Amino acid sequence: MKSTFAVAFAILLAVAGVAQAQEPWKDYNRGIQWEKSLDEAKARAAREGKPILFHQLVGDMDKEGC
Amino acid sequence: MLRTVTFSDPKVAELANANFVCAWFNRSAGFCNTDNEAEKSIFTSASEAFLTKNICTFVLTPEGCVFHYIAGYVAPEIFLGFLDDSLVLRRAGFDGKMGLKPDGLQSMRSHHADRAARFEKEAAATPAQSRFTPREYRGMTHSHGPNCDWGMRSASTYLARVHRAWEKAATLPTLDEVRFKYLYGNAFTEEGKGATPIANDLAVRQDK
Repeated sequence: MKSTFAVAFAILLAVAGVAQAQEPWKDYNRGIQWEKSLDEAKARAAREGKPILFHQLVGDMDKEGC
Repeated sequence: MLRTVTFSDPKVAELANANFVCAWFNRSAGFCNTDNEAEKSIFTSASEAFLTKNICTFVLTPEGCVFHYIAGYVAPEIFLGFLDDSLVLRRAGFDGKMGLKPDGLQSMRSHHADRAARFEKEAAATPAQSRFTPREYRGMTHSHGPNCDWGMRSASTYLARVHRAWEKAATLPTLDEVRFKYLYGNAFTEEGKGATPIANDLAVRQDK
């Protein structure tokens, strides 16, 4: 019985640890409103007479840690 | 760090959202290997600037011609300066509808020459650490140290070189022409098979 509780407790701790590690950073990618594609950005920029701020990265802007 | 610190900064977001149309592109779909420990180390030692090769922020016309860029991570204070410079260039070079003015290129080149001279002077001077607000990143607070001077100087040196390069530009390149050839840029050789080209990716790679 004791060993069952110990295993369950260990699993609980491991799950909590993973949850903590995957918790999104509260300030992650907040603020800038990104268009979904460069084509959409070009069309809107032409309509509004604005330049485009285009960020090229190796990864995924929408996923923290990528 | 650029996303967590700089793109999330309220002043950066306000200036960017009000004056630019913002978009991003994932060069390599499925690529996901950010080393958080390395990012923490960078934040501790160089939270002002870390000019990595594989990320770059370009400023484009609606037609897709590039008229400014900055590679790597820089703190909000530096990125705000980059946005301000881009807006000065926008006013100097383009009309209200983002059409190139007859003397637009020359006006932009003059601004680039002026900015290059200022950044060269800045790179030679003692860096002003106090202009950078201490920030938090994943529970850590950055404390300024000797490495910060290196980061600030490298940013000033880099921006001076970028402006000198633009000062000599005879035309505005398209994104495809400059996206692998920006200063401190590379050909993204770390990408896997799933990398997604925008247009002339292969041609540009072969050209390298």
